Amino acid sequence: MRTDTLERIEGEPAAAASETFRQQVRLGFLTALPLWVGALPFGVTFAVLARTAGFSALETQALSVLVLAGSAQLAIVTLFGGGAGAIAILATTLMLNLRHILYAISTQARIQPGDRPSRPILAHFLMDEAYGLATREYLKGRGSTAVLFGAGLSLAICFNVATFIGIAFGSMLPYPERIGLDFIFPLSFLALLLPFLRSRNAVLVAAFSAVTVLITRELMNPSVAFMLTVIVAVTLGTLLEQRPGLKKEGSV
Amino acid sequence: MENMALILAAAVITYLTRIAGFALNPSLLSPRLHAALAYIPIAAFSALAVPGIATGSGTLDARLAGALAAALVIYRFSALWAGLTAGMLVFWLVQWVA
Repeated sequence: MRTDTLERIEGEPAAAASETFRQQVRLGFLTALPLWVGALPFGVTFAVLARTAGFSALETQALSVLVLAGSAQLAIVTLFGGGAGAIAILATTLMLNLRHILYAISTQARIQPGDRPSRPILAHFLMDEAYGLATREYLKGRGSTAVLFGAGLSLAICFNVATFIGIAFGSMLPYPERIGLDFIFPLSFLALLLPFLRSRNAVLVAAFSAVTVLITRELMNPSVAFMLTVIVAVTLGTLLEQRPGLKKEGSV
Repeated sequence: MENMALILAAAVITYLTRIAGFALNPSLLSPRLHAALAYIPIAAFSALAVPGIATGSGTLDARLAGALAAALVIYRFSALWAGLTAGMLVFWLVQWVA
C-alpha cells in the first residue's frame, strides 16, 4: 500500500539523472549558500562560547571539524563550561544526534548502487541543514547523494571558517549573546521547517511538536525532551496518515 | 590531552549515529515507516526552532516578531537568506524601538 507520502518522496522522474556528479555537488553547494547567513554567525558564536567555556583554540576547531553538528557542539561547550562530567556530555551528544540515524535511514532508501560519494564519506556530512536541503531537492526531483554531499560540504566549510574567525577574533567581538546573534539559530531551523508545511497534517505535526517540546522541556532534561517530542510527533504523523478521511485532504 | 579525548569520543558517537542508518536494509521499511520518515524533519526542526523563539536573548515580543517576519518573507519570496535577514532585522528593531 503506497501512501501519498511515498509518492511525494519519489518525486518526478529526475532530469538530474543526466547531470554529472560534479554538477550535482555544485548544485548542493550553491543551494546551501543562503544558509551561510545563519551558519556564519552561529559558527562564530559557537567558537566564542567554546573558548569562554575553557576549550583551547585547537580543541574548538577540532569540534567543528570532527563533530560537525551545531546543536551537539553547542550542548557540549555549554555543559563543559558548566562543569559537567564526560559521561553527561557524551550522553547528551548521543541523544541529540540520534535523529541522524533516522536521516540516514531516509537517505539510504534513496541511494542507488554506485552513488557517489561512498556512504562512509557521506555520513560525516549528514547534518540537519544539509539533510533538509537535500530532501527538498528530492521532492523537486533533483536530489541525489551528490547534492547532499555538496550541501554538507558547503556548510562544513562555512562553519569551520566561522569557527576559525571566532577563535581568531573572538576577543574583539562584542559578546554575541549580548546582541542576540544566537537568535539566528532557531530562525535557521524555522527557515528549514517552513517549506515542509504544505499540508494540514504537516502543520498539525509541527504545531504538536512545538507544544510538546515546550512542555516536556519543563519536566525533564532538554535533550530527552527533544527526542521524546520527535518520537511522539512522528507517531502522530503516521497515525494521521492512516486515517482515510484525513489522508485525502492533508497528506504530506 | 583530556579534552581532545572527550572531543574524539563525541565525534565518534556523532559519526556512528550518522552511519548506523546506512547499515539498515531499506527493504525492511514498511510504508508506515516511510510515512514516519517524511515527518521526521518536520517534528525535529519544529522542536529545534520553537524553544529558541519561546525563550532566549532579547524580549519575547522581539523574538515572536522576528520569527513572524522570517516566516512571512520565506513564505512570500521562498528565499532563505532574505527570511533570515528580515527575521534578525525585525528582532533587533523591535528591541531598539521598544
